Amino acid sequence: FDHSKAHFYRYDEQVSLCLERSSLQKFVRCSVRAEVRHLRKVLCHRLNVQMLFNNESLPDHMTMKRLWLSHWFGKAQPLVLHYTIKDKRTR
Amino acid sequence: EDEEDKKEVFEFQFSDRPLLPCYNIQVSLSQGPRNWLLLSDVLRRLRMSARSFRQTFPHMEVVTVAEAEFFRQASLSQLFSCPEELEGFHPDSKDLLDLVEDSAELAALLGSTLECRLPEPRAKFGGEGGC
Repeated sequence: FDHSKAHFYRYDEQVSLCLERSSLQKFVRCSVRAEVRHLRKVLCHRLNVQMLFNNESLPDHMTMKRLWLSHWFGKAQPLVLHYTIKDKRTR
Repeated sequence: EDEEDKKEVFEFQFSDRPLLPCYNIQVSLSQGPRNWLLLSDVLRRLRMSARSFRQTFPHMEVVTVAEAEFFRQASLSQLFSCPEELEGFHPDSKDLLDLVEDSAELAALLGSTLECRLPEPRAKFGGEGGC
């Protein structure tokens, strides 16, 4: 174990998410320090994705930990998020 | 060492199936907390025996911890605030649990894909636009 890497995100607590869009589900695990914008950017290589919870848009800089504590505390994993695709990205 | 391994990146593990529970546990005093899956969960998903798993993947780190210690650490996590999540474990148990470290190789074995992303500095003014 390399202690110089102990702060790496991969050693953080990992939050379990379920991303829903219509009837499609995708399950995701990531660091609690990941922010909504990171997740959104991973999702949207070519698409403009907006992350939602209870039909409300989530701010880009909200961390998964804050999201969990403010919206999902006391509930079972995974935290369910929704997303919408606003438009296609042009290259 | 892989170049990617030297960078601190966010790892996003994607799966079409619900992911197995992952526990952030410190298994020895000489190491910090790391992320582990229950070997029994992994074996059930892979439909393998413990013996064949160890034979096939001898390089994958499997550690044994006391269930009571596992429960103590896992129950400290705010992510396990739902009582049902840890109801299968007993705080006073003298049983042992086998854990296998969550790794890219294990994720691939379980049918997940890994996407890495370098954290970008926050924009100074306003939010960011599209992707």
